[in-house]
Amino acid sequence: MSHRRDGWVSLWASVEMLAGIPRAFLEGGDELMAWLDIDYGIQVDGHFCTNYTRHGELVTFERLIEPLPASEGFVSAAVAAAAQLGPCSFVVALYDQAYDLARAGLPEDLAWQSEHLRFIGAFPYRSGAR
Amino acid sequence: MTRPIVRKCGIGRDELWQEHLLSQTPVVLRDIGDGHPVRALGDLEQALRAIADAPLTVRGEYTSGLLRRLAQGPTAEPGSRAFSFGAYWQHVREEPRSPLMCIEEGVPSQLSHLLPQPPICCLRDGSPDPAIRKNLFVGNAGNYASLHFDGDCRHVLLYQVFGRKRVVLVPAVRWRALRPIVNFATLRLQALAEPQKRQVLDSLGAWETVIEPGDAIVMPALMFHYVEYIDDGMSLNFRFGRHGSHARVSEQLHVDAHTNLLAAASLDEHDAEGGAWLRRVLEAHDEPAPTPWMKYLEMRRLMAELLAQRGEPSVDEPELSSDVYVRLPEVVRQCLLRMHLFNQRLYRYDVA
Repeated sequence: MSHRRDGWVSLWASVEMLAGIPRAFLEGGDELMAWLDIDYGIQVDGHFCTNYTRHGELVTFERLIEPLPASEGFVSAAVAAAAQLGPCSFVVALYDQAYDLARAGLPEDLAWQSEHLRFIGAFPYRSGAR
Repeated sequence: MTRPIVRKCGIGRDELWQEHLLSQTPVVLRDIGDGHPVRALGDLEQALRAIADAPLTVRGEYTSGLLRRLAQGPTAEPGSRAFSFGAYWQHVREEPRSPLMCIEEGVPSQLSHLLPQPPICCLRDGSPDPAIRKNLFVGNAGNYASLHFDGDCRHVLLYQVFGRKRVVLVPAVRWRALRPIVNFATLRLQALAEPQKRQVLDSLGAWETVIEPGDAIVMPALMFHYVEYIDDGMSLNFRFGRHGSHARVSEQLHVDAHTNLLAAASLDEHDAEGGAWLRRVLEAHDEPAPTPWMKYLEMRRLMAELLAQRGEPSVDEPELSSDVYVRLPEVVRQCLLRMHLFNQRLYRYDVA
């Protein structure tokens, strides 16, 4: 199922310390792609970016997403959506994807989502994005 | 004390299935190679004279290697390489501690005549097993296969051509003390000094033996096993006797200790209770789910429920010190699990 939507970004974050995880996961290697595919059914076929803390320590979600490309377009909305989230150690942003749990057939609650990779939401990052 | 493995000659199919395969009791057979060309390859020198040109594919030890790669990221470990049998042993002479071995590769055609398929490697009703597998192992002294079970649900007859191997088997029900991830125990037997290793094996109720040239050990399906190469050695194995429902288990379900226990409870395809459990699991598999993870969670819940209904055999699990295990952070365990589901393409359905 395609979630492609130009001008939108979909965000996932870890609320656990990721100390010990293979670096390939943090940098968007096969391990991360497999996790997104297995848990969320999304295949990464476009631009994406990750950010993580140096030693896997927890910091605010805002601090992790600010350095992402075009973040000025989505920081406010994303931080508001993640208000209950707590500190994080890792984020991944899939650009030009508007991932939707309901459309993917998945429950919208957190019960089944791993704290190592939680879906935060999809947000427009470019003005005029439809 | 570990449990010694009984040694027999002249075993028939009914005895093998009733007393060993279905009861998960390993046995060493002494006469499998008698009268076959393989008996003429009783040591490395004889083997070099006979099969030096045979092609081998060699790689590092795979089970602990997989855990290490996934826990620590890619390493400089060598990938697979092609050698002739003679060139491999030349390599070992130059690097006696080489991690490279030929592990579970198909048997090259030049070697297939050495040991024909033993008649007892059949299905339970005596008919030929159309899905039998025949594999080759060649490795140097000091190497090992770390503790794991095989997810293919087949029984194994491992024939020792030359050299000796120490073989250890641990019942599937002792899985908790082994802390497995997928089918690999994180208990690092290979890293333990002999006195500690012996203490651990004793506490696990393990079976243990040394197989010598001409011996064949029969390892019932689904048992954890660990192998040490005492000498430079070569083995042939036959993997056989899997029934149809277990083919589906191995091809369609995730591999973990619970799946292993359910498969072990249904080794006898005529067992009504085990068959009913298996049917429930396979029917649940056939119901589509939106993602592999949702199906995995559902299958895990169902298997835990079925095992609770059945009541796991009561075993006193030893308290082992944490230093006997691979250090594996929870996030890495979770990552390994996803990689297993991803790589095996499990629980994928065409859902609109």
